[in-house]
Amino acid sequence: MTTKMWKKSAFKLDIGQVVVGKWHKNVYQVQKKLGEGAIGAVYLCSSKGRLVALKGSDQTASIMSEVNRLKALKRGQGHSLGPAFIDVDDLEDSRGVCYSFYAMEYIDGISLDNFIRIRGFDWLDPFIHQFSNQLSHLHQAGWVLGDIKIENILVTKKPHRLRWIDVGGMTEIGRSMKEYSEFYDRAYWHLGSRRAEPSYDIFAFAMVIIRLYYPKGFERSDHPKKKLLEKINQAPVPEYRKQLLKHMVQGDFKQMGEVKDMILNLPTQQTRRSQSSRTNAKRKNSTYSKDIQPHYPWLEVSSIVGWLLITSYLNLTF
Amino acid sequence: MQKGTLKQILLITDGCSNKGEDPAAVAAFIAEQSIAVNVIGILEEGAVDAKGLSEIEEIAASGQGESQIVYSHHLSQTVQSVTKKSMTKTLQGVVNQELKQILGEEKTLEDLPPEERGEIMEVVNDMEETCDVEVLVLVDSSASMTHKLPTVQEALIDLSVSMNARIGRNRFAIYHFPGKRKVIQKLIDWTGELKSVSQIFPKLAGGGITPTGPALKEALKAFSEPKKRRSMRWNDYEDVEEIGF
Ligand SMILES: Nc1ncnc2c1ncn2[C@@H]1O[C@H](COP(=O)(O)OP(=O)(O)OP(=O)(O)O)[C@@H](O)[C@H]1O
Repeated sequence: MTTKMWKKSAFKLDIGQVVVGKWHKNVYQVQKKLGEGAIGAVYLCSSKGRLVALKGSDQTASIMSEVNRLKALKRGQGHSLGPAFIDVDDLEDSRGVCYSFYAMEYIDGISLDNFIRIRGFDWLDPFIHQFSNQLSHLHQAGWVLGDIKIENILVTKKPHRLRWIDVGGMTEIGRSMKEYSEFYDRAYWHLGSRRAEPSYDIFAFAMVIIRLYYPKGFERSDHPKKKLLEKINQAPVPEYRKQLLKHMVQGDFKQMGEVKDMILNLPTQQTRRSQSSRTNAKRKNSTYSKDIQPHYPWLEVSSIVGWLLITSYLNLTF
Repeated sequence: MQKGTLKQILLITDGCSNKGEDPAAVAAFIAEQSIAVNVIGILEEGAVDAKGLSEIEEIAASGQGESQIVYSHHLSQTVQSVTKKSMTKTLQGVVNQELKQILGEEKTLEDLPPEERGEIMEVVNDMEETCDVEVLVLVDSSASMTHKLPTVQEALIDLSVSMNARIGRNRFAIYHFPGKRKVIQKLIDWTGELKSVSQIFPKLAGGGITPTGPALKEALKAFSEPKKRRSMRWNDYEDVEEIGF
């Protein structure tokens, strides 16, 4: 192509570097690198007195597609699931190489699997409820989230909510899935197509929950469906959640709202209390991350005991 | 709206050609007929064949397609990403061509402000979803490839599952080379659905020669065989011109 300056070269910023957008002239100061994906790299930057996440790449087309999706995500939700869109621009580095980047809200949180490992599976039902709620808004707006996987879900601090950080897989309903990951893909498990439908997200979300019980994942066998149902049965999952998961992976729910309803009509607390004391025992041994302040929305005697154990444990480690 | 057909060859090989004309030159010739040549190199775990790698890249570069080197267990996702990336590239090329006519010789997508670029990307995405696609798969069946063929079959079926989730129509044909008597041998004639095919690769007695260049040349003929199909032109997307500049 004519402009040689857009040659392939990885997007890289230095800590402390000041980035000024070519078109909009907004200023970003680089704080640290957050991560790197297939398309480009993400940096934490400060701009106009706040923190933002800046994603840049030499693949301008992919950046533009993601920006379009971020904007659609914003239109399709009441309160935010994904990061808010802030800015899109180009950057020319000192060698004259051009990159495209966009700035979005910085989401400060830890991964869902870490959170659950530390705080226990009690948090799962509230999270499933919240996520179902927000997904159903997005579905009503005509989109599926697509590439739903554990790595793309963060839990924020105050309050503890699920947030979403990767819009690359967002697809308009009725079209073919933009991106997916094998373990979370229903077609991989021979349980549906790769056409974007609410039930595609429901399946992938069930796999996120299953993955919490099988951190390393597992592969399909010659009978993918049978293997998956076996894995659900074998997991240390309360019975009502097994039923929920089985419905979710087999395409019994067509709308996210049905998942929500099932969570709301949960069985008695008894079955669940026994599970919660089990997780408290586990907490004692887990390495408690310092940046998570334990706070309990519903205190029980058993949790107070757990709390005391944790506090003394923390004191020992300081 | 009249939709165009996007044509691709997908070459799957594990090494260097050793017979006949230079495959990169043949790929350049094929690209001239508006057919992109994509190449996937399947690598043995641990083995690096520098000569094979550079040939793979060179064929795709001349063929205006995409290339990717992969270990066999990652094949499915690679086959799809290469196919889709190549579609985007071709369609972007079509769009850039048109932009040059509107904006002047030296202009491309990147010279537009980000907002307008975003609108154009939406158009490219729409085209990707709705255009008809023909993929001719050309599989190297030399001796070293034979034990990888089950994985190749799985990847191709998975490709058809992904492609058939699109709104546009798809046709696939599968050939292997070298054939017993011919340079390339047809395994599956043009079809929209590979899912129903139980066995793509019969027992193939793989030999030692890899005539990649001649095979590509024959593959081109297999394309225009049934009837002359129109290839993609901008005019197939009349409504696109309505984006204001
Ligand atoms: N808005 C954000 N707030 C906080 N962290 C973010 C944000 N966006 C991205 N990150 C961090 O940056 C990392 C890289 O993100 P990115 O989206 O580039 O890659 P990915 O999702 O791993 O891969 P891919 O590009 O293939 O989708 C993420 O894993 C995440 O930790």
